[in-house]
Formats: sequence, C-alpha cells, structure tokens
Amino acid sequence: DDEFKEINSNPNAVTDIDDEYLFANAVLQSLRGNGNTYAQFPFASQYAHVYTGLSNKMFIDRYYDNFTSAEYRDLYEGIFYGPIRHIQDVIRMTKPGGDRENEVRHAMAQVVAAMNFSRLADAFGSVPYQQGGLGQEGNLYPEFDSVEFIYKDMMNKLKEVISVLQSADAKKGYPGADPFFNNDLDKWSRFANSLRLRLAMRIRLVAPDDANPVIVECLSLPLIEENEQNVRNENQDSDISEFQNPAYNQYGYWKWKMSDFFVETLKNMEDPRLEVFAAANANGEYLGLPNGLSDTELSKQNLELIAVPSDQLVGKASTIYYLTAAEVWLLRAEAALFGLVPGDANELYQTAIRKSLQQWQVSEEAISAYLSDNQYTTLVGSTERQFEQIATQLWIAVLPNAMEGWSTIRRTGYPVLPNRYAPKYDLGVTDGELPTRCKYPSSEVNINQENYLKAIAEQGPDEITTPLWWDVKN
Amino acid sequence: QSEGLSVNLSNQPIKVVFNSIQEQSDYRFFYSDDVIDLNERYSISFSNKSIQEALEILTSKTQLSFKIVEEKLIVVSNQAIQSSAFLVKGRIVSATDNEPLPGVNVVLQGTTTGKVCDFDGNYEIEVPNESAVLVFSFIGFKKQVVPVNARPVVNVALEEDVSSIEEVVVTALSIERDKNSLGYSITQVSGDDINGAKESNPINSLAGKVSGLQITKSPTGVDGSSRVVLRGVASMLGNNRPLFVIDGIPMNAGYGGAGRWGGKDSGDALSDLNPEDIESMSVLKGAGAAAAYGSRGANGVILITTKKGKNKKGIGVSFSSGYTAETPMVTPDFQYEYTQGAFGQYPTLAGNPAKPLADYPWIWSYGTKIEGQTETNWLGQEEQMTRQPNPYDAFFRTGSSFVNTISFDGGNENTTFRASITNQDSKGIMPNNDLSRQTINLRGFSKLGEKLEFDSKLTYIRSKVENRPYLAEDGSNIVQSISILPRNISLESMKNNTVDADGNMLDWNIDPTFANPYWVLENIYNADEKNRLQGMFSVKWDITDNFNALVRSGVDYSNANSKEHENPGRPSDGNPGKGSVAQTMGNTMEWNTDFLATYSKEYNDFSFSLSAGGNYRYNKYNSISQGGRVMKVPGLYHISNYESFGTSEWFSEKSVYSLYSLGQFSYKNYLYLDVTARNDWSSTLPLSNNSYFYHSENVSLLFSEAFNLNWDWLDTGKIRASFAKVGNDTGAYEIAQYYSIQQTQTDFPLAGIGGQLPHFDLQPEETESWEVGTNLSFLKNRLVFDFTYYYSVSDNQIMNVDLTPSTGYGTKKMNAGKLQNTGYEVQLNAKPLESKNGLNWDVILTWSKNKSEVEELYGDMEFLPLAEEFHMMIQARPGEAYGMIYTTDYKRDAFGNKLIDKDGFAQAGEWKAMGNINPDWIGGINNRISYKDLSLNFLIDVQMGGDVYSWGKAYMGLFGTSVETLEGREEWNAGTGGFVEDGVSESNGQPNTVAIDPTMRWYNIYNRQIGTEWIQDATNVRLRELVLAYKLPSKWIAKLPVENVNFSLVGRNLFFLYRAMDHFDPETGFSSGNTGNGIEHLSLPSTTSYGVNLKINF
Repeated sequence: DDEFKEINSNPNAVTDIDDEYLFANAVLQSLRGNGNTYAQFPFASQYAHVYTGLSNKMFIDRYYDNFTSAEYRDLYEGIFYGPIRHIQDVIRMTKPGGDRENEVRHAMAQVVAAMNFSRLADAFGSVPYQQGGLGQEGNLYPEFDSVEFIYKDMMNKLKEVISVLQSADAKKGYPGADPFFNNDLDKWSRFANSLRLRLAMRIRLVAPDDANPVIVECLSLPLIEENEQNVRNENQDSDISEFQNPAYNQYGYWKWKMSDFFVETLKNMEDPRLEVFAAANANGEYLGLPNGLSDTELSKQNLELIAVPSDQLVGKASTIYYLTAAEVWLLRAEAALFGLVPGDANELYQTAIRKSLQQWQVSEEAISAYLSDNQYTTLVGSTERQFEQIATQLWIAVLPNAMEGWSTIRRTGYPVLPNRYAPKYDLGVTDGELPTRCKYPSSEVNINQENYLKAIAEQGPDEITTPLWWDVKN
Repeated sequence: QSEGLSVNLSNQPIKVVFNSIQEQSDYRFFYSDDVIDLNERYSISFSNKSIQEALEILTSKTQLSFKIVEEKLIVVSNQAIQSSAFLVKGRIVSATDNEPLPGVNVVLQGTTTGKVCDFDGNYEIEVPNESAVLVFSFIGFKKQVVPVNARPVVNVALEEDVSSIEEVVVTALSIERDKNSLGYSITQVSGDDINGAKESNPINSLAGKVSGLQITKSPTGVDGSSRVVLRGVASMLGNNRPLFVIDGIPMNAGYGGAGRWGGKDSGDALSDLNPEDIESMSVLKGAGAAAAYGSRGANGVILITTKKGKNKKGIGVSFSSGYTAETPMVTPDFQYEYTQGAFGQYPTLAGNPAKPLADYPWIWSYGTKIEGQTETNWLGQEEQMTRQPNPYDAFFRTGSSFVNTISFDGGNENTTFRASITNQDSKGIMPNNDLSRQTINLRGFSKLGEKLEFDSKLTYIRSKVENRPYLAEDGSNIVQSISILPRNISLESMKNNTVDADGNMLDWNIDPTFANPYWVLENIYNADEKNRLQGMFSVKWDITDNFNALVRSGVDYSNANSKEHENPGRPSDGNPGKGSVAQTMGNTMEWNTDFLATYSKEYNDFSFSLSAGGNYRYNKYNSISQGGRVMKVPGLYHISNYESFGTSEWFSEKSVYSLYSLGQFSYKNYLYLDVTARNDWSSTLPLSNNSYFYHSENVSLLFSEAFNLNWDWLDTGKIRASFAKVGNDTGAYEIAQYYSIQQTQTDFPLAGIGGQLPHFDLQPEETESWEVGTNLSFLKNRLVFDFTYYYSVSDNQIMNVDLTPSTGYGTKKMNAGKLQNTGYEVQLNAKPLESKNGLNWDVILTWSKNKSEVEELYGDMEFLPLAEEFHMMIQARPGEAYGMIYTTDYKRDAFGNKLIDKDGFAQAGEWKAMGNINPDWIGGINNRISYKDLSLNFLIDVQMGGDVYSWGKAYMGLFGTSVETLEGREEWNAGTGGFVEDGVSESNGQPNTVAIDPTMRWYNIYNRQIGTEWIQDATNVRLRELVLAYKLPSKWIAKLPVENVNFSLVGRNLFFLYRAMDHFDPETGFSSGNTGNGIEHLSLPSTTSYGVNLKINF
C-alpha cells in the first residue's frame, strides 16, 4: 500500500501550497486571462463600437447570436476557470476557520472575486455567484443568483473589505505576490472603494435607495484619485506566449479595425486621444469602419485606408487597465451632477478628462488646449445633456476596458449609437438594436439545466435582447 | 469374436496361420519380410482360445515373438534377433503432395520420449529394441502408428485428417489450444496472410479478415495510425483499442492523430511491428477470451507470435524484398471553370502580393468564367486566366516503400535461434514526408535436458520520420490550402513564389489558415526519431510430466525525440511570424513479470489442467520539452537561437499487481469448460477500492462427437458459450487535487489548479459480457461456418465528466455512464474448388454487425460530447447509439420539404441527430485461388452504412472549388436564373422558384451552420488487397543454391466497387481516436499501393 501511495503521487506537482501563489495567479488572470480577453475583444469592444472586427468576429458585430457557442463559452469559462477557480481556493484557505486563515488576504481575495463576478454579471446577468466556482467543495450544480443580489452582496462585502484593509498589517497581505500594487494596502483599499462606487453607480437608476447611501459612503473614504493608483497590468515586449498581452494576441488574429463611430466621435471633439488610440492611414487620415455592415457594403470598403488600433491599445507592451482615476472622477462628476453628493460636477469632469489624457501621456499643452477651448470638455446644457457628456467621456476613458464602455452605453443610453437599417447594415437577431447581454454557453445550459431554467424564468429569456436588471434607461 | 479362436493346420506356412487368425478376429499381424520367413511351415492346432492364449501357443511352437500393440495390431518379430537399442531415422512427408512435413512429433510408444522432425521432415530417434513402435502425429494429419521392426530407416507419409477440424490456436497467455475446446470466438491469421500485400503497419492487414474487427487507417502520412476497434466502442471516452501482446509481453501502443484544430499524427507504435517476423496473430475478440489479461483485455486482445528458429541442419537464410509505390486513391471533384472572386466577379486585388482587401467573399472561387481573359493575378501581374488541373494530381508525388529483410534461422533439437534484420525506407505522397526504419530481431529457444526450456527475444527498432503532415484546421495543413485555392491560381506560381525579398511568406490571401503550400513544405519541419527495445526472457520447467512452471519477464522501452521548427515569415499576430522551435524527449517503459504454474492430469475420459499465476506490471513515462520563439539568426534551430523559451517536464508511473488462475476441464474430447479468475491491485485507484476481481467461464460442446452424429453432411458441430466480467482502473495521479507551479517570466511564482476535479473515491470500471456461438463444418470441411452473438455492457465507466463551467472546473473524474454493445459475427470458410495438384479455390467470408446503445450518463446530463467540428458535434446520449452526429438540419415542413424564404434561401431548422459514425455492418470476402505454383489472393472489403461528416466538402462548397458549386452559375451570370433551392416556399407552400446567386447559396448554408449536406454515407466496397504469387518450380532452381523462390505482385486499396461519399474516401479521418472515423477535414487522400515482393529461402 505504501508503495502504491508513493507511485501514485505526482512528483511534478504538490497537493498543498501557500495561497500567495494562487492569489498572484488569480490577479494576473483577471486582466491577462482569457476571461478578460474574450470579454473585451469579440463582444464588448464591438458592442461599445470601439472596434470593428473582420472575419468570423463580424457575426458578433452584426448582432447574431448563433455561434457554435464557442464565443460565449470562451468568455464564461475564461472567467470561471481562470481568476474565479483560483481566487475561490484562496478564499477557502484564508476565510475564518480555513487552513490558512488570514483576514487581510481574505479581504484582498474578495476584491479580486468581486471584479470577476461583476464582469460575469455585466455580461450574462444572473450567474452562479454564492455557489459559483466551488466545484472543489463538491458543488457541481450551482444555483444562479440574480444580478440584483450579486450587486448588493458585492457592495456589502466590499464594505467589510475596506474596513479590514484600512487598518491592516501589511505583513499579513501578499508581499511579493501582488501583481497589482506590490502589497500597497492603501491602494487596495482605494481599489475596493472605487469598485464599490462603480457598482453603486451602475445600479443607482434601478435601486436608488440601495445605491445612493453607498455612493455617499464611498466618497467619504479614499478612492482612486491618481493614475498611479490605477488598477492595471503592464506587459513587456519580452513576455512569452503564456502571459503575452491578450490584446496583442487577439489583435492580429481577427484583424480589428477602429470603429467608424469611435473615430468620428473623437474627431468631432478634436480629442487628442484619437491619435493615441488609432493609427493613421497612409494618407495621414483617421478613418473608421462602420460596425455591422452587410457583406455587400463591406466589400465596397477600402480596408487599407481604415485605421487600426494603435500599439498603445493592442501592442505587445500595451497596458491593460481595469479601473482608472479618470473613471472614478467621472463617476464622481455624475454623482455630483445628480446631487447625490456635494461637489462641482464640471470641475470633477475636467479633472477626470485631465487624468485620462495624462494616463495616455498626452502632452500638457495638448491637455490644456483640449480642456480650454473645446465645448465638449465643459459640461453645458441641460442635466441630461451634461449626463451625456459625462457618459461619453466615460465611454472613452475606460478604454481598453470596453466592458465598461458597453455597460455605460447600456446603463446611461450614451453615447447614442448610430441607427442600423437594412440593407446597408446586417440587422442580426436584434433588428439592429444593441445587444444587452451574452447568452449562456451551451455547457451551462446542458449540464446545469435545472438551475439555468430557474434563472431565466426569473431574468427573462436567454436572448441577447433581454435587458439586465440595472439596464433601465433607454 | 476374439473368444474362441480355433486353428487346425498342419505343415502350413506361418502366413496361413496368421491369415486364419485374422479371419476369425479383428487382429492383424504386422511383420517385416526380412525378419521372418513367411514360408516356414508349422503344424499348429488349438481350439476356443483367446488371442493371448493363441499367441502363447504360437510363441512356444515357433521362433517368433508376438506383441499386441494398439489398434489390435500384433507385431511379429524373430525371437532370435532380440537386440539392444539402435537408431532409427526417416523422412516424413505429406501423403497429399509428398512435400516434407517439418515439426511432426515422433514419440516412442508407451513412453514420453520423443523428437520433433526438422524443417526437411527428417528425424532421428533411438529405440530400445527392434520391436519398438513409433507414433507419428502432426496437427491436421492422421496419427500413424508404425512398428520399427528392426528397420533402420522408417519413412512415413502422413495423410491429412479431414474428418476433424482440429485447429490449434494461440490463446490468452500464449497457451496453444485446440480451437474446438474454446468457448469463445477467436480468429487466428497466419503471418503469410499478413505478409501477402504488406502494409508497413501489419495491423492494417487484418482489415476485412476478422469478423468483429474494424480497422480504419488514417491517411495521415507515412507511419500514420489506425483506428482499431473490436466489437464496437465500449468505453465512451476511454481507450477502446485492443491490447497488443507480442510473445506474451504487452506492447505499448497508444493512438495517434491530430485534433480538430490541427496537429499531426505521430503514429500508434503498431507499425513498429515487423510483418516479416510475425508467425501468426490471434484476435481474442471478447472479454471471455481475454479475461486472463484482466482490465487491459476488456477491449479484446491481439496476440502476436513472432517466428522462432527451426530445428534443422545448417543455417537457413531467407531474404525478402518488397517495393511498393503509392498514389492518391480518391481526389476531390473540382470545378474547372470559374476564377477567384464572388458574385460572378473577379476581385480587385491590391498590394504586393495582390490580395483582396477583405478575406471573404473575394478569396472564394465564384468569379468569372475562365475563358482566356486577362486579370491581375495574385502576384500583381496581368495574366491570362486558364483552367487549372486538379491540384491533388499536381501536388502529390508517388510515394514508395522499399523493405528488405534478411533472416537466419537454425538449430538442433535442443536449441533454435532466429535472427532478422529489416530495413525500410518509405516516402509518403506528401513531397517531404519520409520514413526510415531498421529492425533487428533475435529469438532464441533452448532446452536444457528434458525439463528446462528457455525462450528469449530481443528486438531493437530505430525509426525516423520526417515531416509528418499537418492535419485538420491547421494553418500548416497543405491539403486544406490546395483544396480551396482559387481555381485560376496555378500551383506552379505558388511554388515559384514562396517568399518575398524580406524572406516573408508570399500568399494569395490574408488568412493564415490557408498558407502557401510550398512555403509550408520548405519552411516547416518536423522529425521524430525513436529507439525502441523490446526484450523477453522466459524459463519453463517441466517439474513432472503433469506439472510445469513458467517465469517470464519482458520489457518494452522506447525513447523518442521529436523536433519541430518553423522559419520566420508566416503572418501571425498580424505581423510576419518570427520563427519557433519545439523539442520533446520522452521515455516510455512497460515492464511485465509473470509466473504461471500448470498442473494437468487425465483420468480416463476426464482431463483437466489447472494454472495459477501472477503478474507485476510497471509503467513509466517521462519527458522533457522545450520550446522557443523569435529566432535570432536565420537557419539555426538550436534553443539558444531563440529569444524566449520555456521548458516543461512530465512524469507518470503506475503499477499493477495481479494474481490469476485458469482451469480447463474436458470430458471425452467433446465437452470443455474453461474458467478464469483474476484479481488486480492498481496503484491508480484509492487504496480502499484498488482491488478488483474478474472472472470468465467458457463452455464448448462438440455435439457431433457427444451424440455420435454420423451424418454425412456434417463433419463436426460445436456450440459454445462464454461469460466474462472484467474491471478497469484509470491513469496515474487522478485521485488527488494537485497544484502546479507555472513556468512564467512574471515577478511572482504562480500556482495553478488543474481544471479536472479528482474523484477521491473512484471505483474500478466494470464490463460484463457474454457470447454464444457455433462452429459447424460440412462436406469434409469444405464448408466451415462460424457464428457468434455477443452482448456486453460497460458500467461505472471511469470518465472525465464535463462539469458546468460555473463550478470553476472543466471536468471531474467519475464513475459514470453505461454503454452496451450487441452484435453478430459470421465467418464462412469455403473451398468451392479442390483438386489434388490442381486448381484450388478458398473463400473466407467475414461479416459482423455491432449495435451500441448508450444507457446512462452521469446524473441528468443530456449528452456527452465526444468530438466537435464546425457546425456539428458527435455525441453520446442515453437511448441512442454511441457516436450520433448532431448538426443543424434545414428548416422543413411536415412533409420533409425544405422551407425556402421569400428571397430564395434555405433556412436553419432543428439541431438534431442526423447520422452515426458506426457502420451498420462490415464484411470481407477473401479469395485464394491457386493452381500449382501460382496463386491469386484478393480481398473485397465492405462497409455498409455509417456516416462521415465531411468538412472538406463544406469548405469546398463555401469556397466554390468543388464541382457541385457550378450549379446555377451560368444562368446567374447571364441574368437568366441562378441556383434554385430545392424546397417549398415558406409563404405559399408552392415549389420554390426563386433563383439566387450561387455564391450566396453556399454562403447561406455555411452562415446558418446547416450541416445536412456535409453528412456523407460511408458505405463503400473496395478491392482491398490483391496478391498474385508465383513459386518458382523446384526443377528450375534445382541447380541454384536456393530452396525456394517466391515472387508476388501485390496491390492494396486498388479501387472502389462502390463508394457513396463525394470527393473523399470515407477512411479519411485525421485521428485514430474513438470518433476518428466520423470526421473528414481535408486529410491526405487515401492511397492505392502496388508493388512486387520477392522472397528467397536458401
């Protein structure tokens, strides 16, 4: 028996490990893993009208939903198998009573879990949350939780996390295993608080009574204010394929072009970030490719002249951003605009724009020029008009996190996307309307059918036109 | 009659006395003229005596002595010349053709002393006295009892025994048995049958020759693997290949093949078997036959016995040489009329090389009619459009295989040896795909005294394969590239323009999936080199006449080194690729040690044999891989020449202890019972469940003997039944959750958790099977009929069950799933023509039908995905057969008509089962016609039913390169019509009349993912094998220093008598896995081979 035991133990792997290595993996996978990659590229960046994909990614851009399920599956599995599998194991180990109980690490892990579950909920709607990713504990048929529950629960959890992190002993964190902030717990608490703000802002129109007090709370605590506090991941030219920038990998393969709507919007605003995001064509012009064109229209396009994304967005050494100072300042501007918190919305708005331009290394002269004589960089007009300005800046500032861009359009209705009409555009299954969610992958439908059916009975049909709980504004 | 013998003779020759006694009794006198004088006269008289009394009287009155031996024979000898031991020799021939019979047993009657005659039929034996009696016996011949009668030379002609079909076959644990005594189905194929039309993988030579055995060779280059399934797939996701055992030692043989997204077929190691060394192959089909092998026998066993040396004078040398050439058998039907383009227009090409700006639709071949017009070609030059020939014909070369073997054998009565050396050089039809293999095989057999036998074997195989072709949806799959190449682009232009000034690949399109085929040939290289050693040593000790013990140990070790590199220049990541290298070194070992003790005894009509044995098996695999990207200096493929690199390491080991026992009981040579019991202890299962027990019971009744059926038309009749239960374990390290440390260049060590959840309480898998069968032989064995019905159910299958992704894990090892197989097997051997020294015709007909049904999956799981391809999935679903092909059908009305929308397009309907990968039945008709020294063998192989999902057809439809895409083009371009979809209009129910652009017709099906047209009937009938052999007559070669010269013309896979599938051979998979026969994705074409073989014995 001893011989068998010895023979059947794998010398190239271990059965017990310090959670720090799992934590570092979960953190890296949150931005560099398949989940983020597949969320951003095929779906969000096209739905947000930032990029237009060619080849078979066109089907997504044309609002079809009948993929062999690979696309939905890649996204769903990418998040569950990458960050969630690993962070749930960290949570299991570090929670009260766990093998490696540690409240600081547990708190940090909660933040990572929230960033991934919120991405799932924003893409699909209801997902297994309380029971999600717990296969190791024997939960093979997890029940779904509603978007409402997920949001509220994450906001509650983050509140506890922030209080733990604010008074935590950094030694109990992850020194040497934190790819985001090198165990700077102040930055982690700002991250947690900013994420909580993002969540609250997302649901403020559907559940103001839940959201507004949280927003006030968030603003009373430190938030991400400077670009050095941004949640991001940097890539190097030398990275080997396993951890190569997913943006870079996806870019070449699918031949992305800049969206015509994106290019024209920035051009119209004389936004200096256009040159940052897009590469000019041989004639020095910036031209985009309209999203959703039909085959015949597409074949008329001279693709050689259309701008491709710049190295800043898709180069091998480009940085992947998740949550930035600019986004937080814009959310604060919105909160101020609607009187949820005191403050000068315009001032916050301009701070946000400045932070965003600085983030992309736009020169100070260009920043001043943009802010001083551009009608778009000053909040003007009705509250709704100002809201549109804030949302439009938000849509630009979140790049390359196009998931937030798509969510912003769904939540605020801004920027207003161009209408699609036949036969110039292929109208897909939504009759040309922007998809509001992704369909569940067939693996979930097939294997976890009972819980799936319960979830869609509550949420609405499993279609890409079913709005999410917080998607209430037209 | 033997009572009451009376003789009353006076002065008569002794011969008359003998005659008198012979007339009164069944006894016969046997004597030799030179020993006694038959004319010597005696006076003898007695009455009412028994034969013994009579002989006593004769003894006293004459100088003769008498001895009653068997068969009521009385041997007469001269009392005067009773003497001591002397040597008898002689030659034994077959009475049929006077050819010497090697291997005949010569035994001194009443003793266990015996000899085996040599290759030329000669024997020598010492006899104790002149009245000794010799018994000559040989399988398939009538036993002869011959008194020596003082003769120094006793030559014997043995007559063939047609009244019994006694056939000795090799069964489990290499035990030779009379086939009649077996309660299960077994088919033995001789080395000659395998060697006729040689395949480099000898397993392929079994196709069509064994009922119940389905062999599908993948056309994946030289040394490609084959799918081998006995009696249907039993394990849904596990390995279903039978176990291969060579000379008692199990052989490592995984299966090869590419995946859906590409790769290459690295072979299945079965081709390491050298056909020249094979004496016979026994196919143990069911678990009953294979139960002694425990879990590994669950899918049946193929036992391979290699040649031993022969006891003969001097050293026998034989030389064989074979050369075969091969050419594609089936190539797709292309259209030859329209250029690149879409909607009937030639594309606008820009840049250098000139490419359409969007990859589709402009890279399709739906352009203008080729009528000598001038267009800008892909090189940016003005070119007159011409019809291009079938690219398969132009691209592939004639493959070849040249195999030479020289073997030596010899020995004496105590020791024999055989040594052979084989060299094989093969060239595949893919222009750079080569194989070189050398095999050395040594076999020694020795007897030490009367009691000890040693057997040993050592085989060394070295092989190197270069440039195994890339398959399936792989950017390096050349076949895929040439299949969709626009029909106006010449291969010549691709060949002459592979790289630009910067050394980057030149291609006519921007999709890296369809590369310039010649660039791939020149710039992507792979090679694998393997050194394999198989050794075996066994000792058998005959402790007493009834009791023997055997110990055997054998190892199969191989070391493989594979290397692959790609030069910079292929577009990837939007930019030219920077080159890559990958290398793996791996060692695989399996070591088996067995012991087996056997006690046999006969009591009158009852005999039994009991064996007990054990086995220890140890498997180990380890490998190290390294890979590098971004080449620094051109042309150096060393890891140091790459900017980034990584390594990985793999190790696994496993051990299994087994104890087993076998019992064989027989009553009066017509009732036989076999039982097997075996228990295994596996290291891979949890300690609490690691022991599992199997057993089998097999009964055979020769009812023709039991009931003394003296029917003229029936020679022998047998019924048999078998039941077996076997278990199965799993792979190493599957019962614990492991963390791995990832090799990264990040600042932090990263640990990962595998996506497979372990099962901490895994149970062994269980297969129960039973079979019944009969074997009937008619018309003096000119017609032998064998029938088997079997049923097997595999339960508790250990499989990776897919989990819902929200568990965070992809799969979990579980005991789940139940699959049953039932089937029929028929084999008919007939001799329609038989004449001595004249024309003979033998026919062997095999037929088998297997039906599988998935009974259960895990929990509520609706289906288990077995394989996927674009727009389809092969599934296992409860209540359905294993391997149903699911795809989207057309939208149809209640009558099955396609519903066509107002614009004239077919629409997507239901996702449903539309085919099955398994044939309805398979069969073979094997003919052997011989006339004197000339013989003709041919094998017709039939597959009825079964489906293949043909993605090649789909691609060629989408790209407009196949002939069927021509429909409606002429009319559409002329504005007079177009493609009119067959169906009814959805709006008014009338037959559809809306003509559409053919470009859009095929795109529409692709876009809506309708797979109906890609499901192709795999039914086919082919001339699988043809051998015309000629043995040079002895008188021609009498003056040459050779014994035999055989010459043959051979052909394999010659042509189809019937083929339902369009464009491809149904045997065109890219993998030999469980569903490998169900998907076609532009693999290499299957090949026809033809050649010559020469064999000379010195």
